[in-house]
Amino acid sequence: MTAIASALFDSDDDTLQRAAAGDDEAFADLIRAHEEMVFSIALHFFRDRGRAEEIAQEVFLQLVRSIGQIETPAHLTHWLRRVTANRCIDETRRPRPHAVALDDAPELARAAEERDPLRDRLLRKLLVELPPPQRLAITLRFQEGLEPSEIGAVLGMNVNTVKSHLHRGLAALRKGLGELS
Amino acid sequence: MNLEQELQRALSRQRPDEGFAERVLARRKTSFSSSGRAEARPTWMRVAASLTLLLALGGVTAQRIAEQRRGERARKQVLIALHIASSKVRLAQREVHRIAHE
Repeated sequence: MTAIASALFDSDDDTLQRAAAGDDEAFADLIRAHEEMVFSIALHFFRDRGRAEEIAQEVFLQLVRSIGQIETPAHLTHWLRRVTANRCIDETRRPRPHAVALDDAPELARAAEERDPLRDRLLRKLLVELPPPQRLAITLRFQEGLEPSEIGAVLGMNVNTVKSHLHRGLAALRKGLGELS
Repeated sequence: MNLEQELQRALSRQRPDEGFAERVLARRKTSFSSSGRAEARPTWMRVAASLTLLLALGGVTAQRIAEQRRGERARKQVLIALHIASSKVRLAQREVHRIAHE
């Protein structure tokens, strides 16, 4: 580990300890360090910024109650991914009469920077139509860059099940893209 | 570009709206203070329910004791009445016997 990486790790560890001791500013720093990850998992799962914001807030509120059990920064990252995934799954089981999956305005603003924004949007739309376990496995694989074994640890599945979800999900996306292109 | 690269691009991380951490902290304060009230409320309710139950039980017990006392008094009165009546009957019988022997 380089000196810089070590210093960063120590700093994360210190922030975690201060947040666990009730330091609001340290807790805010933890949120800022992980908000993108938590929000994006929920956003790619639901394709709804409002719902993603709500889930991300609930995940961090749950962290307030559980922070004493978090041992290291790596444990925190794993905990946040797992709790976010569970929240997403739970949310699909709850009826939501007024839920409307809106397209994301900030994404439209960024569209010009992307090479094929329409295809990206289509891909995200097809992803939302996948069964929840496939959707989460693909999100964790391609958003977070996790290996199947790491995805298995987050979702509480064995590696073969994760590989199967990835395989089926990717096949469904390929089929969807093929049919629409 | 293959599908996996497309997915990496399409599923890149995105930031929530500005001020997310502040919104969480504000919500934490609200939910913690309301949960404090929620915890206090059952205590109040438990105390009130216990007092109500004690009063109700006390009332029922007092009523039963009063009824028992009334019943006891009535039984004694009946026994006294029977005792008086039987002594009167005995007196009458003795008088009847005396007249018959004369």
